[in-house]
Amino acid sequence: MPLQLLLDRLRGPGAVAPHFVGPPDLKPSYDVVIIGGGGHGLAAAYYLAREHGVTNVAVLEKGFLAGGNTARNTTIVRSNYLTPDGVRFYEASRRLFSELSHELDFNIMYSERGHLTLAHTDASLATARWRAEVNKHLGVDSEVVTPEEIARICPQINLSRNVRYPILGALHHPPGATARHDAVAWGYARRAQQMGVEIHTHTEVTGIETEGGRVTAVQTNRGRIVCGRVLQAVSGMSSVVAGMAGIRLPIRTIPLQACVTEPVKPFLDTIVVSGSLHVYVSQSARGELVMGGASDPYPLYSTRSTQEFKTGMLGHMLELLPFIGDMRILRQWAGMSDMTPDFSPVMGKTPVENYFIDAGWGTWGFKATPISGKTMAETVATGTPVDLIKPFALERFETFNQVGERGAASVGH
Amino acid sequence: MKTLCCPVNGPRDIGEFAYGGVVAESPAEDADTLVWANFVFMQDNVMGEVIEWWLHTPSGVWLIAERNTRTDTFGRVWLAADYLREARQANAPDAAAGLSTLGPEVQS
Repeated sequence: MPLQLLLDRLRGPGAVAPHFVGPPDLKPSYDVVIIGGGGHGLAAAYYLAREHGVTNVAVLEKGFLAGGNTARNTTIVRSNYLTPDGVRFYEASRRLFSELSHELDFNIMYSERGHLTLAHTDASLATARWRAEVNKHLGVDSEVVTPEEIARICPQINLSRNVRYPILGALHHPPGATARHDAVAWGYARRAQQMGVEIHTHTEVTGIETEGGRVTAVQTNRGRIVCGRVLQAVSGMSSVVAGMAGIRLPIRTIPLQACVTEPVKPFLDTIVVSGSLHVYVSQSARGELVMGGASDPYPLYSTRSTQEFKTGMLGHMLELLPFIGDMRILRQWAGMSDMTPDFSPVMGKTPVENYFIDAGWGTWGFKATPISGKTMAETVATGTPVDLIKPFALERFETFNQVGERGAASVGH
Repeated sequence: MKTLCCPVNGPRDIGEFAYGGVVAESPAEDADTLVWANFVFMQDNVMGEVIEWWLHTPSGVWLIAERNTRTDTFGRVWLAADYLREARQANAPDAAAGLSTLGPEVQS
């Protein structure tokens, strides 16, 4: 609405209500404290207020709103996972995503593009077939397609046989989508705040007080808060924060790097992923090619970028889309990923009775934002994990009930 | 380009090395399954100084190195055999405690 923008501009500063207003001071106590003001934490705050009437909630964020991994992912939404537990969960998330702009009255720029996971080996084609069958059984639109069909769906892809890893087929997932990552967090934050939730940025948790297996208070750089229940949703720093509560997690923190090219006119509608080549690419609404690869080869608490990542990833990318060779990299970044051994999250209860966790989001967290918020809100409100997240309980590593999603979660974000 | 100084091969590109995990004492073979599950899956995931296994893949040399997981910088590096022998001689309750007994000849 350019006219509206012009009118707002002419009215001068203050004419448009800001999306968020900073709350005054921290109160001495809250019913629920959510550690982490990213997409997951803000979504949980929204669903706690909206569906469970819990509004005496503080979201504590050590930096600025949604400036961690919510700002660093590559915004892909899909549900073509491998295990029935994973497919059900991510499909529920995709459905929430597709209606989210309406629900939040905030444009999250949800854009269904179609998603291709390319197979360059017999093994990856077999995995694609496996995923397609599990997906279809659970009502998710997925199918294995031939190179001829790939040429029709996405003619930009180099299907030459005269390359190092020729393409044998792909898993096609038409509902695959992208969304504006920041808008998702802003939309949840705005609506949560309207319902009474307090969002405190630049408020870092420095300690967690427990007594008799229960958390009693959290210490922050702005003072101590007594709390009834705590939800931890801090990707990247999960082990450090859980450590404050005496909880050990099956997580290694490993950087995941990504980059974008300079913006060009829209030419690439489909989201393209190659597990064998360790690359994925989509074109953003701004026209930038958003590209990423596998996570780094060793753990690190840093968001630095490396030359090795760019040379490795772009070498493969040039094989897929040779014509992008003349484009320039505009921006690069990294996020710290909570990598779990089975490539599935850790959600639900912890050994500390009223301390709930939403962690282990590795390289697959953004697409789960709405459903994580919804299920964790219910879990925190009722004290009992909901069925959809029971398979992702922390205890699964003691009972050897892992949810192996490596074949669907790694690289293919 | 990031390098790791191998006691045998000298400073080499980090891309030549494979990460082998944090040095930790494994449970007894007949330890409880729960103990083994914790050892295999749970991580301290330390933000700061750690001591880790690294493999120089072209030569097959196993190393043990100090690294800071916040700054991505390496400290001392040992041949795995040297490190483990020194740790054993020091009769350390955990392997890391043997570090201070190492002589300068094995430092990078």
